[in-house]
Amino acid sequence: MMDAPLLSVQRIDKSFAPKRKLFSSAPDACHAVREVSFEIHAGETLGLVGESGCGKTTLARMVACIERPSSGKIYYRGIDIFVAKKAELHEYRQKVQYIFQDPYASLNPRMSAGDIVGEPFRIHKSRIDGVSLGDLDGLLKMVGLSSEQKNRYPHEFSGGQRQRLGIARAIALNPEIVIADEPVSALDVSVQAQILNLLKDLQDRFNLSYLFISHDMGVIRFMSDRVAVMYGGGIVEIGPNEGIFGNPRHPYTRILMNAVPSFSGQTVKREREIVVSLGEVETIETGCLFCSRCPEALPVCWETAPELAVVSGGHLSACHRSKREV
Amino acid sequence: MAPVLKVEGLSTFFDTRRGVIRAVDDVSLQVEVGDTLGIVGESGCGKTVLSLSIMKLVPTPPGKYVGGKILLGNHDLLRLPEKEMRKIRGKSISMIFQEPMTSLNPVFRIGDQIREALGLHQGGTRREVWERAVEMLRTVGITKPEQRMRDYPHQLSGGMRQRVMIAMALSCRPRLMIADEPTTALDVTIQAQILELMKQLQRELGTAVILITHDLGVISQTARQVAMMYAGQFVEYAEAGVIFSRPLHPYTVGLLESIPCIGGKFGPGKRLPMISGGAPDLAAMRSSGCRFHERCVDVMPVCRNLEPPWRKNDHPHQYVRCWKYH
Repeated sequence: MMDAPLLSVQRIDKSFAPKRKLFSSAPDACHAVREVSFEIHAGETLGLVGESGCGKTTLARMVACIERPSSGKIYYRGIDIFVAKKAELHEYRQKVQYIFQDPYASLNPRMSAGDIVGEPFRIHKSRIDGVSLGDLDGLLKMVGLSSEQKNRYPHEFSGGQRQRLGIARAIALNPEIVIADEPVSALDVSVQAQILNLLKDLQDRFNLSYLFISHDMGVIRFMSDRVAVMYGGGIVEIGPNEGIFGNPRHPYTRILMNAVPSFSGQTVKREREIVVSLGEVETIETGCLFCSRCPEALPVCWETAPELAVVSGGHLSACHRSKREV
Repeated sequence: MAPVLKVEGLSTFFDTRRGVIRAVDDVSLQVEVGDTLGIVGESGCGKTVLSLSIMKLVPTPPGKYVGGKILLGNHDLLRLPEKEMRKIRGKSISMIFQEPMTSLNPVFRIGDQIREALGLHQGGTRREVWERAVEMLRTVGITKPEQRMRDYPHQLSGGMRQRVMIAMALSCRPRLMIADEPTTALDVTIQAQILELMKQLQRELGTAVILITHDLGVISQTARQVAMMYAGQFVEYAEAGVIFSRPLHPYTVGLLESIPCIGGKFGPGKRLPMISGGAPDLAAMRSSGCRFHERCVDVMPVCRNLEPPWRKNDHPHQYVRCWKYH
């Protein structure tokens, strides 16, 4: 199908070296993201799913150019963003926007709604003509707020409305890629549906690409064209929505799905027992990161780390077993 | 079977400068030995005030218990003096909170915290209490409990902390355990483990459980009966199977439809059905009319003027608060 990808992430790696404390030997570095590669095309949603601490947010922060990777490259329209010129970076920061998880913490309580949404225009004023009040009103209306609410402050809004403000701020500069880091996990169920639908409407209207991060498999299923499953800093499986949910190949993906309590269908009891008997997370020096908890681990899993390998068109899994079954 | 806890027409109001807030309004419920009642509602609907009311932990003033009865065996807890109530808390009724880090004291070893409740309610020598605490930790699946007794809360993972909370809550073999969002802060795989543990202990000890959550999936996995709470009132109350297969109240129907799930029919390119608007402000609410009418798709003229009374349906037993069924 494909034209050139909008964003291409190539083997990025990130370790955080902890501070050495007085009188103690240097502790091990925390390896947050391990050699992750993926691409995002225009108008596409890539869902990123994984448990807390698996490196989802660190990855997103590197894509947003907030954090520099230890190694690896990110190309945006062929430009390496970590060696880009100032002007190129300026444009990148305008074209890639971020929606944060916590709508309470991510809005400045001392700025009015109008100021919050108008701030991107002020920052990037050298490139964009000054914003007229009409634009601001249109922007607020687009996310389901009214223009009278412009002079209110964040505490006067509900959680859902605050997230709408965050979305308005993110789309203000007409971006191409929006990174949504758990945008609905702090919201109530009935509001969650409203925000998810809004994100889809905006995507259709402006041909946005989303890097959509969530720990909720149901939300990922609803939002994503393609899905990447992360564990321990690496992508263990990546593929099209139907492939991941219809025919998950990595044991971790299957466990994640069976762990989700559902009310529509009954989970198979045996599958649930596997989830319940999962061990603790261990740090693995060599071999597959998941092998200590994996119900299907083979001897080889403890020795060599499996690479992502194609299991069917566009569907990759990093598991010795799924390679065998091909 | 005699109920462990029977609540009849309980109302807890708060006096504020903005007027009286009817946080819990005319709530009735009943739990039997070994039974699980799930209470579902969105943030601000009064779930937590209800559970605090049952424990009689609502600060008065500004709160006041306006009416109703809380019957534990033959005692009406609302008439019991504080001195007697202290003997019931932790012994006959115990509670687990959402955030295990904030509900454990960070400056005491977990062993000391478990022993405190045991020593107060059951007595015994230091040695006996210590051994019972170790036994309790082993029961909730903590490995090497003797060593863990000496750990501080920050040394444990989120799942382990919640296991410690459960150990504390069950250490005196209470007749009733109230779990307020016990797994909300946990990952799905850990959540599955904690829910399974609660179920297993409940079978062994015969404890009745009131499980409060906003997650309908969790409820369907664990609860025998379900109460839907909206703006301080129960709007629907029935057995879990009935409520999930044949919901009556428009709020329940809307909520069930709006949740994206793995096996659901809503994938990329679709929109979720949603409930419009947000939860009402309890302080600004007028006293007349149904509390849901502004968001309801089936609203009728009567809904705006008169509050619908509780209606009981037989075959199957299902209570609903909606004019559609009168």
